Amino acid sequence: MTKYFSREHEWIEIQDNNEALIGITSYAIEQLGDVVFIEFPSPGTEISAGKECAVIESVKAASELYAPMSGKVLEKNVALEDSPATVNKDNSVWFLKVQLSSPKEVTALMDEKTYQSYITSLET
Amino acid sequence: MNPTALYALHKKYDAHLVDFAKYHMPLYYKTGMLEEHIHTRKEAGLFDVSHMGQLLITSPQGTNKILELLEKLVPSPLSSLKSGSCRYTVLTNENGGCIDDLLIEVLSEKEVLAVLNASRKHIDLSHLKKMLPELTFELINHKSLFALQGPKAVSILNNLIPGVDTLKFMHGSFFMWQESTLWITRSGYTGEDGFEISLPNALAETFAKKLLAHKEVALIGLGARDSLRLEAGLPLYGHELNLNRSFLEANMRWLVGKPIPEKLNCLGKEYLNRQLKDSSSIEEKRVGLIIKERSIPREGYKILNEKKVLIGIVTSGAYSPTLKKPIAQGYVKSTFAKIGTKVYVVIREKPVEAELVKLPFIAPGYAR
Repeated sequence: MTKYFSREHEWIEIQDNNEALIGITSYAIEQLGDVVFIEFPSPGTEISAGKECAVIESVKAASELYAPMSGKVLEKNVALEDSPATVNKDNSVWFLKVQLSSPKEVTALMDEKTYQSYITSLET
Repeated sequence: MNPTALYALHKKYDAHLVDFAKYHMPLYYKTGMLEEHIHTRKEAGLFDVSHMGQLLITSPQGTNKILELLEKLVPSPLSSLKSGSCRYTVLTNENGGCIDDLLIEVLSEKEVLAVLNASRKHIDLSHLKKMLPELTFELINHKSLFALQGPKAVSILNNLIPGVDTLKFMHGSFFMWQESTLWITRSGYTGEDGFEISLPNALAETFAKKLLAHKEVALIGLGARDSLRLEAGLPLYGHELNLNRSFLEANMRWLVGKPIPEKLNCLGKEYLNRQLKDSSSIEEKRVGLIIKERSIPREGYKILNEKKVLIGIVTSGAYSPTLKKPIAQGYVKSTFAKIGTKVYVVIREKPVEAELVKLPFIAPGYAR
């Protein structure tokens, strides 16, 4: 399964039937600090590319999670409701499972190699 | 930007450094704020607080004169303080608000030390110089300031410097370490037992390393310092205290000492005496809040009453690692300030239920 990345440091992993998982990158986690609460949209909510779809509360601040692609929320990761700190331990943990409505939007995202050089450009 | 004497050590410990009041300060280290917070409550945390102002106050007429003069600028009795005594108080302004909150520490018969907030120290200095030209003030830059806080602090520090365990809460003394003189007080800003240590910059790294050689000691950043003081119910200047809020509104009437004086004589006395005499004239009061859901209240969020009418504002908020709940301090209209009152905090446009609670949120571990 291939992961794609947004400039706002979300990743999206596209699976069969245009379903996808959304999470955040190590870079984002590093910036956030300890995550203490995640406010999820309810399953069924329509999300659109580039728009806020969840709120991540860390010890430092509340930050938005932007939808990397448009679609409908199929599932939220309920395990993160009980232990949001998992995010700080495992950057492969997903936040939302969505049914993509415009799969072509993927062309606006970065592949892993491009994302890595994007991060490097931010750090210098 | 000024580095503190521990800059290299902070780097070595992977500190996330931020610019704070013109200093490069550690916000947190490798393990993060939550871990650091919990560590301080259970073991011992070492804080570099060298950005704070250490203001040496002297007078040819000695300490009694210094304290007598300083009393004009604070609401607390100072003349009764003996060598080694520390007092927490505020510098008031003409409107009864606070210029800063500070610790006044009597070093000897000749010298007094005031410990000031980093962001306020130069403002405090000009105010003091202007109001008390009889005294000599010197902001000491050649000394660092550390805090060692937590239940294990006393045994660890006593190991290095025998005798510190005899200090009582809010008392200090000079101690020798490696042929240098250290000023150590039993005080702090976390709600835990602990010490603040003023020492020469040249010794700072060596001393910090000696402390860190104990497995119970970890470096703690400003992030956890904030959540620790919030749980301890302590105000932070710029948040709970400012030029427009009096210490009486901040629920710190205890600053005036016992017995409660008829009248205060410090700056802003007209405003303050009215509030002291008739507490019903205090329009807003500082309160603690526990949030019933899991979203975090932040500074500036609105507080509503049960009928969803605006009654106040959050001044500091955080996730409390001890209570495992979001907590806050804020100001509400006095008529709604009763402990146990059900209120709402508006978080992302949604009113979230909260309860007004007594401060502090945790039982302090001070060595009284």
